[in-house]
Amino acid sequence: MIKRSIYFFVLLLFSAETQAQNFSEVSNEIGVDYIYPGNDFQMAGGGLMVIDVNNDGWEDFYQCGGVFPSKLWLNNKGTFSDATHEYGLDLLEGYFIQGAIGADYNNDGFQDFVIVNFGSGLGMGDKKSPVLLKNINGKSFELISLENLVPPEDYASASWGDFNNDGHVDLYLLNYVASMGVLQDSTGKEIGYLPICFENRLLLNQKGEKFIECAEEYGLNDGGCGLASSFTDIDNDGDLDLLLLNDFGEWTGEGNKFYRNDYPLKSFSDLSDSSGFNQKMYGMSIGPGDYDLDGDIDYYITNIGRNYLFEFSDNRFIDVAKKLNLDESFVYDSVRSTSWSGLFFDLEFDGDLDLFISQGNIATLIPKTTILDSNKFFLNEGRNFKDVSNSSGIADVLSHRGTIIFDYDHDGDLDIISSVVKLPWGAYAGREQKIKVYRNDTKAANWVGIKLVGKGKLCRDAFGAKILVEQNGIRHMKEVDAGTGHASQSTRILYFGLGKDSKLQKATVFWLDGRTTELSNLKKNRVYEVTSKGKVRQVDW
Amino acid sequence: MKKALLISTILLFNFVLLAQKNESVSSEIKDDCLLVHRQWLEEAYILTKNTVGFTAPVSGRAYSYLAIGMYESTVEITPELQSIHSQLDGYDRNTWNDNELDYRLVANSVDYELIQYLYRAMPQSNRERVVSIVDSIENKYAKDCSKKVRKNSIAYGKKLAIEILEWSKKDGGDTGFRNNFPEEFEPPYCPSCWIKTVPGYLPSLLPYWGENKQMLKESNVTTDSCVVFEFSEDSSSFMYHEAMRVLENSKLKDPEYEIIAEYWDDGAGYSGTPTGHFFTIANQIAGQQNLKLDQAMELYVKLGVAVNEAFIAAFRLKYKYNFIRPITYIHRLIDSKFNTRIASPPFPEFPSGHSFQSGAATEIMKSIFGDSLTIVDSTNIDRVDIDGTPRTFSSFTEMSEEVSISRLYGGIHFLKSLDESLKYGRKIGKYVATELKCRK
Repeated sequence: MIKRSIYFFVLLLFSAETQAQNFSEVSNEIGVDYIYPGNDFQMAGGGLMVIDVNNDGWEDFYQCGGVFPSKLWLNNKGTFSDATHEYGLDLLEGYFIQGAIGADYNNDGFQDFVIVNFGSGLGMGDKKSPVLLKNINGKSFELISLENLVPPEDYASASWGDFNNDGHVDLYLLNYVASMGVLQDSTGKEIGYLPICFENRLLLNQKGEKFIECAEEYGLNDGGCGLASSFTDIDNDGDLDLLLLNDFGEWTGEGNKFYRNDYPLKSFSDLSDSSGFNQKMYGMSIGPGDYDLDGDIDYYITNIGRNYLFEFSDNRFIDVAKKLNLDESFVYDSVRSTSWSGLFFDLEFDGDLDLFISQGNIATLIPKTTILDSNKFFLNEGRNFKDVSNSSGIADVLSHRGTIIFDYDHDGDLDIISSVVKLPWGAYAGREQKIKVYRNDTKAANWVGIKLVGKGKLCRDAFGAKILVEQNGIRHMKEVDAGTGHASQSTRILYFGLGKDSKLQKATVFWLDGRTTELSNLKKNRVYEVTSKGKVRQVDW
Repeated sequence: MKKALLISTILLFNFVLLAQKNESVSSEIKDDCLLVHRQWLEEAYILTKNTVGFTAPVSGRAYSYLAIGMYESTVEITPELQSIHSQLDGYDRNTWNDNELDYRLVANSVDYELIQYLYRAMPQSNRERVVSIVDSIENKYAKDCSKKVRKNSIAYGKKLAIEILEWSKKDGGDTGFRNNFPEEFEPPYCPSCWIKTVPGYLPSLLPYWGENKQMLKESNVTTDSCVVFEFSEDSSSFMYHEAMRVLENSKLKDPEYEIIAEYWDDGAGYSGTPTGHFFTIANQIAGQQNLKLDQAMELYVKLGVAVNEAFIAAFRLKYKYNFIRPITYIHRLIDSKFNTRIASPPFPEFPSGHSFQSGAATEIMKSIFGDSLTIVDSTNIDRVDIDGTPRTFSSFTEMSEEVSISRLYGGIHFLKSLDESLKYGRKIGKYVATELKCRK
């Protein structure tokens, strides 16, 4: 009898422990058994991109391989196979690929994408300009070089967005370090960096047929070391503004930037200083999310050292990261943490946003960082975030980079894929430095997914369109993902957690042309496609 | 007393009989032994790529002990060769055969034991692969012998390997893979001194490696007179002229420079490192030339020892001179926008490790094959991150010269350093080729 009691007690303990873990790492199980073959400095980006290449409703993903081959992983209903060759993407071998960001730039219903690459020939990789990959009927990709528009420089990330509201999505290319010097004191000791950076580029889409480079004309030829950006309608005036993060800000003097779109004028106004979005830091990624459910978008900004969580109010960015213990400044003492992708999503579909941060050491001259820097996960518990990293199943001590969030197995919750680059540190001895697929094992509550499609004078991707959900008195705003996380892009389906509710009570779509679409009583656990013409249909799931 | 004498006589008689029997092992068995060794060498290449911390010197060391183990494991069935244990500083071989053995299983056992220790930081997936290899080779040959012979062969191999590993632990490099970048090391600061460089800003790699014990006691003497050229910031100086050569080469558009620089870069973490590259070449030649076991063993062991000696000597001198990399000098004095074609490694410039290593390795090959063999190197044929098209050379000398000059093309070495380094690398190779006596 006693033995039996002990047995059940142990079983209960085991069950409690099992339930406590939110994620299981399943990369081998689902066929993504990829180990990055190089070292960190060959792959500064490590971007990932969710893309449904064949419109079968099972989102695939693209993995950027640095100087080594990048991979298209095709989703076969929850498991993946390498379809790089099948889709003609092995033609990208030789490119030093940092990130990939998708958009249907010609509005033909198939998702295209751009790769951003280090093309200056620094150290490794070929001297090549970024390339547009045009999706040919969901069966293959055609390579369209941008060499006639932009020179082969070191592009680190990109953002899509129809900033001139002409119905065709435009492209902002972030340019990184042209040359890097070392600042020494009088004794010769290295005390800082002396980076010189290339200017960013802006490509204006001409009806999906060609592009024109116009960064200088629009005042967006920023000369900082650009590493992350986002077109987002911050001031809710119906045009896309731009948030830009610069790396090495402390050394270049170029801080982060908030460029307000002056549409219909052909200009952006630099409001970085007046708005308080001018930190001179090591900007890594932007993660939007209405974390406080007040009906507007907030932005999580990652860094080497202190991260920021900005609310936007009265034309000012107000940092609340420290107040919420989300700043992640140090791993210990004065040793700074290195955060790459900080992304909000609803882990258990209880209606609020939780936060995942990919962490990963990089061989830095300064500041002092550590290899013992593990991923972080914070559960949103009302007004507080609870650090559940150690019990969540994601706290790997590896060098993580880009991250994507999507429901790859259609089991009704959102999963995480995080790229890992290989570092030569002895502390990693014996560890599998491989890509991580964290399957969400939480018993998630009810949800609704909404995919927006622009028609007529709106770009098909509907980047910048927002949905405001009102559920039991709570207001939750989301915007379509046109590139978030570090050189990455997650699902474009907007998921809303319903908790125990069986219906989404009310949702309003705000299109960039000023029109709205009202939705109500959407049934739980389904994905809907909503067009700007007001057509709503349930998507096979 | 008489009884003791009788027993000794019987034992000696048995030993002589056994020795004769071992020496008369069939050529098929010997060929199989060579196949076993070659399979493990191919595995070592994969492990060198995948195991954290296997930088060039660390890999050179691992290959050298592996090659010695291979050699000693089958020396008893190659009557042309003698054990080299007494020539290697501190290696005292006490394990000798007094049983009937299957030497294919001995070879497999020695190679496995050495690999699983030397590459003990390998990821789990590689560990599983290594275990599957040792099992499959064992099962393949075990059916040809009794259970007792199988057991004795594996045990003998293990004992031999352990003896080599115990010896290896005393050289100073046993945990090098874990401590490539010792935190306590502070590089000196001076105008001519090396500092961290783009793109990785990695700290000093293996600053104490030069203190490791060399395998041949007098190896260091060969490089005692290797001296760096004079540093100067004067634009009319030889140093400045050398820097200008690097800068001017970097501006040349011919893609061949980049192809050659990348081909021989052999960086840690994504290649077999220079040692893995040269062992692969040796393996290719062994196959093409249909080398017999004794010939291949001599090639591998001399290559292993020479490469290890070369890296120890190179790193001893690197941290003696702490010489500045071209990128630092050029950024500081000539052109702040200069970029190299390949990444500058995280350690001082002089001498060139690649030139030392390739000079030493090719001298070993020349001592065995002469210098008129055509070499087609297909080591990188499967790599897609670089142009891995096989490269052909009409001699080992030509090959070593390309390896050396590739570092100028890469933008990471001065030409004068390369010329000097290649010269001294060859001295090391000649020394090992002459002094390490394998043949009876």
